[in-house]
Amino acid sequence: MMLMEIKDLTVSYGGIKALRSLNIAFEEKSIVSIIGANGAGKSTLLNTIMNLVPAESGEIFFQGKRISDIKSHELIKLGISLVPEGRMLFSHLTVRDNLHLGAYAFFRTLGKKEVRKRAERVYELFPILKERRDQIAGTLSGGQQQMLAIGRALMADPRLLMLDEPSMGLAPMLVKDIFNVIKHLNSQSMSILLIEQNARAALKMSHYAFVLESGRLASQGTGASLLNDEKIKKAYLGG
Amino acid sequence: MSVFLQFLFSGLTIGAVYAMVGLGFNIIYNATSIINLAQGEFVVIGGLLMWLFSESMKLPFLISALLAILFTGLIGLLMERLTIRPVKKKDLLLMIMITIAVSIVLRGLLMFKFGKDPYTYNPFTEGDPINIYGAYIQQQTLWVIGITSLCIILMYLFFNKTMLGKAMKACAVDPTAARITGINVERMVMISFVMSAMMGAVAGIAVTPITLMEYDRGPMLAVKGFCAAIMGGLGRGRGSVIGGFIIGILESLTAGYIHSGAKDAVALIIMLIILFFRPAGIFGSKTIIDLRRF
Ligand SMILES: Nc1ncnc2c1ncn2[C@@H]1O[C@H](COP(=O)(O)OP(=O)(O)O)[C@@H](O)[C@H]1O
Ligand SMILES: [Mg+2]
Repeated sequence: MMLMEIKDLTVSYGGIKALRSLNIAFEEKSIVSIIGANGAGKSTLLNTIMNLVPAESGEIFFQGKRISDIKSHELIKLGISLVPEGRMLFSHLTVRDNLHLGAYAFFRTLGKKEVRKRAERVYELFPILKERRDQIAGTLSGGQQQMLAIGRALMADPRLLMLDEPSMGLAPMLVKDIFNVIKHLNSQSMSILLIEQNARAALKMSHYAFVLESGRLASQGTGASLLNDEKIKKAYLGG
Repeated sequence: MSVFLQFLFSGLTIGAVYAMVGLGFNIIYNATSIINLAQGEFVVIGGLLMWLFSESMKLPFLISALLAILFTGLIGLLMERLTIRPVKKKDLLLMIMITIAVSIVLRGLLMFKFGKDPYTYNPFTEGDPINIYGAYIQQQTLWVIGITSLCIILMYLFFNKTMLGKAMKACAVDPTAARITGINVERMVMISFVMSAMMGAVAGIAVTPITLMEYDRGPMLAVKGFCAAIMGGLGRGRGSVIGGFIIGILESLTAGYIHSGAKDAVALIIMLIILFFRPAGIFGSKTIIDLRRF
């Protein structure tokens, strides 16, 4: 069974169609990336999966269950977490509070102790966050904020982690660190859905990828096959 | 000196009420960016229901107070459910107008039930006023100030030390971010209305033995509480408390030294000055309003 199946998804903002009859499916435990130019509809796709943006038509299934009508704050309980474009941290709260709020939906079922344990696991992944746990999130550097945004999403212990341009605005060294973390998470059998401007880097680490063009699915294939595709090379990999 | 102190004490009493109304504004504003102009009605309802339960139905004091607070909270809940939640397009101006409409309806219902007469009941504790340097301070005034302080501390602890409070603040800062971390934003909005209604009721219950209460006190309380809230910068609890006391004291001094008819102008003048010098200071910038839309 596919982890996620998107059938005939169309999304509009006002009159403008951002996604047109999109069909996408991918398997569990893989790194899947979505590439495409600015405005192709990549963020819209993730936001629609998360039900932040309503679908005009079409259906979305997660582990065989139809999730199109499930509210955002419920989806996280099903195992879907989003690291949104622009990070969207609670910038006035501390690092620790941001992490704890990431597990807000689980406080009652897990209890405080388990939530702290999860935070410890995030700190292991990003030791700098532990050092700065009492710092206000808005005062962190860009890289640290991205780590915190990922950490916050991990607090829900998701099956599927969706990341919307996690490398945006980061120095190459940091980008590498972030990618390594993503690979590490995947090696622990977390499924990853990644949006990335740097198509080459994304395809290199992806098991599978989809290419969006003006809201349409233009191409799909394994990371390796798309890396060698002449058309993709020309359009997204700089020749 | 003693005359001045006397004015100061009465200013502190009424200031405490403005501070509580200001806090009520902030609770809802913090979770939704809505200015709830029916906030004053919550105070009136609290006081009048307290009279209804304790004087008319002769229920014991604590039970009356509890019922009055709970019922007012219920009205806050109904207000959110019936007038805020159903609105599809969460336009800020529209929402504020809805709260004005609600305040008018509530006032109508209050007049229908209680008429136009003022109501009062016995102070919480019997006993002579306390003499401080020749000025007299009523025991009920101490109750009002004590209860206000307690509410301020509880609010602070709630928003800064509990997960629920932090989640509520998170909703205001970024409702989308709150949603994706599993916070039920609609629920938080509802809780904010209930809490703020209950806060208003507490203020009404405490102050009615001093100031009496009638059905149409709401709008004036709302204006002054709102003024307190913007003096401190909307959304900042501490600021609105200080603002409330400043307005209360200035009003009382104006009434005492100038003319009692002039006291209501104080808050309006302060508000105009703020609007004049920092028009943006009231709502923050336009982009912040857009970001905070829920
Ligand atoms: N909130 C919005 N309102 C109106 N149009 C939007 C909104 N968000 C995105 N769009 C439009 O939808 C299209 C797809 O945008 P987006 O999904 O953000 O693309 P990408 O993430 O691939 O850059 C673009 O044409 C964009 O202008
Ligand atoms: Mg995007």
